[in-house]
Amino acid sequence: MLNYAIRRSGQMLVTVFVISVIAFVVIQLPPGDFVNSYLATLSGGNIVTQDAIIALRSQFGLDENIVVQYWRWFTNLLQGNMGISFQYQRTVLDLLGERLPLTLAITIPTAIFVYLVAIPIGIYSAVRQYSPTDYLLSFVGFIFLAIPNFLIAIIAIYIGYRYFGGSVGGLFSPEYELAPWSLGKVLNMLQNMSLAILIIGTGGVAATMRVMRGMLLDELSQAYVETARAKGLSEWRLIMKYPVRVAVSPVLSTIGFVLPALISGTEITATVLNIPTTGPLLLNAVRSQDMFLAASIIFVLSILTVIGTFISDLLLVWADPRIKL
Amino acid sequence: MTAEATTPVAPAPVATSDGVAVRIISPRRLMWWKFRKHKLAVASAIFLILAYLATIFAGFVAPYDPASRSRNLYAPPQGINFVDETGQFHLQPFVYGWKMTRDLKTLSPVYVADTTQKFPLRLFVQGEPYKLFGLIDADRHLFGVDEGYFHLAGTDHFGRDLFTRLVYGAQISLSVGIISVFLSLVLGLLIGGISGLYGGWIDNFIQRLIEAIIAIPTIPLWLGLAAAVPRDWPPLYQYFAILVVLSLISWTSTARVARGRFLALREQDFVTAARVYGASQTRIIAKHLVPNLMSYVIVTLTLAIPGIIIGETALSFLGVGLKVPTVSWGVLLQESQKVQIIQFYPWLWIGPAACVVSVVLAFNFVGDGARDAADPFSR
Amino acid sequence: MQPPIATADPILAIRDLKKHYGGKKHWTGAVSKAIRAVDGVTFTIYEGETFGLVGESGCGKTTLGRCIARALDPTDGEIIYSPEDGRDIDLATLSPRQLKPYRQDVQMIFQDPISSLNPRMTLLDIIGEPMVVNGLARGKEVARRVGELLERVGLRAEYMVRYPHAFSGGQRQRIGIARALALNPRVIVCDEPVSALDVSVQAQILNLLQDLQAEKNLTYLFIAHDLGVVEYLCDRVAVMYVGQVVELAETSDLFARPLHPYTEALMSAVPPANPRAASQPRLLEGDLANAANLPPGCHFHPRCGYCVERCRTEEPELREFSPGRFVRCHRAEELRLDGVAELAEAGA
Repeated sequence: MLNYAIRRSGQMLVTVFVISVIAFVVIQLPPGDFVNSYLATLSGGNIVTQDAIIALRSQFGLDENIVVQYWRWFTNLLQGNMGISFQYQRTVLDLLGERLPLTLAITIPTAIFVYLVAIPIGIYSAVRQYSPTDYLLSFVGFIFLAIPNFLIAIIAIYIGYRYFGGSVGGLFSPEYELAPWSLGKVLNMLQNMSLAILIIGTGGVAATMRVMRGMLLDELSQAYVETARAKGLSEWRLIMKYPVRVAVSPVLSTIGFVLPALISGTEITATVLNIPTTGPLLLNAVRSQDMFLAASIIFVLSILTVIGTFISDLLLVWADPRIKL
Repeated sequence: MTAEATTPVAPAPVATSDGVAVRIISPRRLMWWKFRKHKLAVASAIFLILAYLATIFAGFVAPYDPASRSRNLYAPPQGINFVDETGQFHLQPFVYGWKMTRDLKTLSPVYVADTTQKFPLRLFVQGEPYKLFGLIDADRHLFGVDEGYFHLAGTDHFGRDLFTRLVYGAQISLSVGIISVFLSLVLGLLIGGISGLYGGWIDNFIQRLIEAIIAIPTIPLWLGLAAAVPRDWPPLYQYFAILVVLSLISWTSTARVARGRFLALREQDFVTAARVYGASQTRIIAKHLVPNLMSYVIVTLTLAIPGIIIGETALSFLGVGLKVPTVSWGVLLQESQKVQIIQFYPWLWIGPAACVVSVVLAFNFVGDGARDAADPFSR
Repeated sequence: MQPPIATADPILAIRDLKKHYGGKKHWTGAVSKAIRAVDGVTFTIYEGETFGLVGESGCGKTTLGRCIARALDPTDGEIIYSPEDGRDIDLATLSPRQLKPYRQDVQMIFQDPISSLNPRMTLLDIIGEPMVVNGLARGKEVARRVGELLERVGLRAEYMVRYPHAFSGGQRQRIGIARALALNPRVIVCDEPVSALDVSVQAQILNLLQDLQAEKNLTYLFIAHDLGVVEYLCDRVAVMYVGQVVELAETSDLFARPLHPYTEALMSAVPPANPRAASQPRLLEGDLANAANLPPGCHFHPRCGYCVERCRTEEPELREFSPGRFVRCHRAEELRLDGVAELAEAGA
């Protein structure tokens, strides 16, 4: 177990390193160096002295070669110095500290929601294979797989207006927007967040449900299930006792794919629903080529994904000793 | 598993008395038989073929020019009628004209069907001129009206026909899927092949790179990469830039599948046999590995197209992908991003959304059917 | 049984052949232990004989066979091949280019009738490709020869336009044999060619192999774990245990009186000819030793019922016990082990 954790964290460090290179490439991609774009965004009013420009250039080592620049950026990053956002005139760390908690507060419950809903549905579908309910669930699953998150968000806004006469979106409903904190405001926030979780989770539920169904069907066709049935074990107990346990762990290990997808979903859905996560921040940064901010957001989100996958892998190994260490 | 358990899926070929086999069942035919069993996949494939044909003949299929404006702004879709207001049945379908009033509170236009105006629908009508394939002058359209107007999917804020714009948008959105997937195939096979062939630290490095790319949430990375596309580039350049951005991420799944199958196939006895009788490395790859690999790669690609189409739609929708005057489904959705439009003119987003969802759904069904067919020897 | 082959010429002499996997130094400093799949194997195969190679799965017999057919590159050792012109060539060290002329002479038949045939090729391509690759035939000539080969292995010539999926396991194995014959080889490495087949089909394939041997003066290296098949087919047998030969003898001698406890254990697992015989199978306890982490002394000692102190510390050498009989056991002289014949007698 300890060995596995060490080996796995070694792998993780390599992945983090590669991600940092990719994020740096994102910074470097736009034509022209970023001091130019910085000056461009400052053109309105602020006067930048020549000294300040030189100071900026040397702070990020723009006069040095690309490897040195990368290394300087990366070591700064590790110390929490992610540079400044030209657009907001604040440090990236500051901005992230403001927005990131909400991203996590939505993504983590969504992940739990996905597995809590998808696994029972998958089990039901597999056990009642080819029943009308199974067909219906599979069909609905296919549809939800095909509808991207942001479209579901649009549909939610439309339905909210059309059938409930209220506005959907934002972290608070208009009447609480400026109100001081109160129990009502917290409940309102939770309500809006749970809507977001529901919207973001649909695709994940649809995908995970299919995996669970497939895995369990494979397991149910094994000979030992037949043997247990012949011994007269009751059907539900028989299924829950072994096949489900065996089938669940590969399903849980899909988290390496599910988590990045959920974060993607959170960011784009938050943009549509106007929830102040890192999503709208990233979009603004990208639109105005505020590349330090954009790359830092991408980097931090990816690192969180990697760490999340790492933790769930460890939990999985701990819970299921059959997984090869 | 015993050897005798591998009964072929298809009936054994029958030999006639002169010893000539009546029917030789190639693996390709077996795959087709297996695919054909998935009715939904076959129907989806036909739908997709029709959709791609429509993009090729966009000028003919669309009743109007994508930029031409009518006086009807924000007009909802016109329903096709067979029965008129008096309850009489007409074999020739027709549409009613619109009578516009304004909502006194919101001042937004409200359209009511005007039963005094009836425009009969015809096939192959003469209409606005267009260039077929961008070359041939033509003015015949698949359907339309001789007089009056017909907006099957409604109009937008300039009074442009939405159905027409959806058809032209399909040209971009559908081609992005195919071309990007082709690019990622080239990238994936190249990188995956290098990875499998050389092994060692190159393989290790490429595997870590793929893992890293998979760990990065797709949409943020796409956004970051799309930010690098200069605003002032002409639409065609932007189009290709977005293609590259999309394929830069989606090659990973192809590379993973290609490498995995490659490694598995390399251990198969028929490859060992080929080595033992002295077939060259190139020959083994070309005649033994690639033909057995392709069906899996094609399945992966089919299943990758929906992701790419959604990616283009999402980027354009967020305003960092394709931009007006380019017409794509994502661009059309972006125009309807305002809450007012979502609420009051739902056809403006339902149209493109329905197109995206139905195409993605169809690709998923085809991919599902193809996945089962890719291994025709399993039961 | 066929007479001993004292007069025949050696065709393949394996000298201290090794195939190790892994064993590289990792960048963290950890050294992974090499897996010694084949660990110093020495024996000679004579022209026209059937040389059996038996052992549990995982003992390295398949790896050894593949090294001899040069499907794998041996780590160390020699494979001395004697072509018809009388020279001796070490196949183990030749580069792919130098190897090519001799490839034709040593061919292989595989265990798995499914994975041994390319599903995307017709029989014409499968059996014809070796000829094309080696420039033995072209165009119509290929089809003619493929037709002949198919008929020789008991299939119809017109099947050549079909794909492997249309055939049963036994038929597929015949196709594999035809492919091996396509180059007119002198030696065929048969890697458990019948163990995936039904018993009724096994006999047909074994008879076909015997007929072909007599007709074309073939030499077989016959790898098997089924001792019944080995006793029926082979002239001499080598018993392998974790990458090493532990006993080598003529088939009748080996079955009458095994010298190595491992051989005895293998034989006791064979059901006696008389089902009412009171057999006492000496079941092997424990698992096959780990080829990456071998026990000290005799590799077999943890599972051996005759183990003494010497066996735990001193590794035995493969030595000539009597002319033509080799054994790797300290106690070969003192032990009196049971062969198959005695088991049957004891019950009768």
